Amino acid sequence: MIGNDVVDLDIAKSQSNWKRNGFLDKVFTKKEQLIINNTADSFTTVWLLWSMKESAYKIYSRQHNSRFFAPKKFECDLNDIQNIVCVNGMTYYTSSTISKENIHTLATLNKDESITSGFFKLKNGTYDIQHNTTYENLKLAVANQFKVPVIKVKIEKNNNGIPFVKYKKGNLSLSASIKQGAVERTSISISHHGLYGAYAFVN
Amino acid sequence: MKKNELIESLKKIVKPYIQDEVAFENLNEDTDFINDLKINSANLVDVILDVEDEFDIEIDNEAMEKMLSVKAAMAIIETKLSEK
Repeated sequence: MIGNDVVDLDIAKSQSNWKRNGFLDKVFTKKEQLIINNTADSFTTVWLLWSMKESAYKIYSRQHNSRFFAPKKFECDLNDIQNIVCVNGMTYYTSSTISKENIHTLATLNKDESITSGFFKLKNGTYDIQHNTTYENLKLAVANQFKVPVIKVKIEKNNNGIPFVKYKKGNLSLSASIKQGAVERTSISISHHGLYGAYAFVN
Repeated sequence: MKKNELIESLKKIVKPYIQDEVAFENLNEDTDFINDLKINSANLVDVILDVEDEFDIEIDNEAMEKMLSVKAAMAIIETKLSEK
């Protein structure tokens, strides 16, 4: 299973204020607050930890088919070899790419999970562009990975708002073992923030 | 506090963070902060802090977990106000 999260650091700077009274206490454990306070770049660390929590939450909520808002329960551990997030006895492995402009985090349930992911800059930061571009890019990648025509790839959401991708194996299917018209489902994760979007799915 | 007054107060609080104007105009008890109003999750923290400030209540972690919809927020505010 897979979870991802994107943070546009310019938007994080202008639309959120992590120094706001109460913000750190609502989101971060005491241990995480120590990390934040003891680093040279507290701002980036806040959003790195946030994106780790968000991407781990996405897997957890898929596993339990439930939605809730409890960022503090997702405890991050940063170290040189492998960053992890722990919640209710579960451990998720995360890897993050950090630049001056953005942070992109992927979380997986298993260390060696085979995944496809994409990260891209958007034309602008309006919700429609964010949403539509991310969906279109994901559909193309799924079509490419599973060798199906892109028009047969559909993204849907379950009753809890958790997205999944459906694709029909049609005439162009290269896999003889799957009968024509059979619908496959795969677990996906999408994220967008400001000028950046990303998708990820399990191969 | 009356229900419609509570909804109006919540509407004012969420306004700076919404990304869907139509859902915002039609805001009602069943409106979901993330799925309908498209509030990004980092700003959900701001909504919670703003609710605390506006009603002078403390939203503990347990209550915060459920704060995903107008209905849930209303129930939490009503409970916390009655405990005052």
